[in-house]
Amino acid sequence: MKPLKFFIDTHDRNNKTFPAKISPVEFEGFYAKYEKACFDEGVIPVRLHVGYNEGRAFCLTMASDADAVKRAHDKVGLPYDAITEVAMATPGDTFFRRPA
Amino acid sequence: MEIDRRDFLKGTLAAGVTVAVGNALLNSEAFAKGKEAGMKPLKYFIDTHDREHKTFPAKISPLEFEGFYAKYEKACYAEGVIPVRLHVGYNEGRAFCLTLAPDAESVKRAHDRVGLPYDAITEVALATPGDTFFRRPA
Repeated sequence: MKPLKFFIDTHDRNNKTFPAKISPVEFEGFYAKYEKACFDEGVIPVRLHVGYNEGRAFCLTMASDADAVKRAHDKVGLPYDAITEVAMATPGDTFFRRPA
Repeated sequence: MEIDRRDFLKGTLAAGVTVAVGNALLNSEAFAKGKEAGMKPLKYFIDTHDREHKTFPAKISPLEFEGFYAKYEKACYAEGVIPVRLHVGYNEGRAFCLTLAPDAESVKRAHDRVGLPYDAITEVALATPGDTFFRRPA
């Protein structure tokens, strides 16, 4: 298996990269297709964060590179604003050296 | 003398029972009050930062971020916000911070405490492949 990195891709209704209106039930049907497209491209859809009211989405994935994430979106005709490689930080991180 | 000791023991026992019952009543009252006060329901939010909008530093290293993060975390707890996970794009100069908070205003106040500007705070619902509530189409 290739080493994987974390990415966040973004969608915003204002930029026409998020539907004008979508319900959680409608999203559920779409998500199944998106998930399949991800697995086809070797992308792991770790967690999607969907803002139904504001019309925004932030999708956390693991992939070998940003191009694989792009291809997964292309497969389901889903436009996006940006794909950003990210590193994570959380309160319980074992590598977090708190200042004295 | 013997009677005095018995009276003393009875008195002590009665006092002990009174204190124990009193404590139990006080504790249950405090518990009931605590339950009423309870914890507010929390929602998920993502706030965003972008170098192009001057809401992310022009340059920051993971080591510099580590020092800042400790302050940010303290500000979050002061405002009742849980910093679940921050996603930092050092190269592209972007950050996406996932928090749990009672409302967007608390997230805003946590940012204000450390003088950290942001682009937007969005309430989000989560979806992940293993979700137990995910009804896959047949």
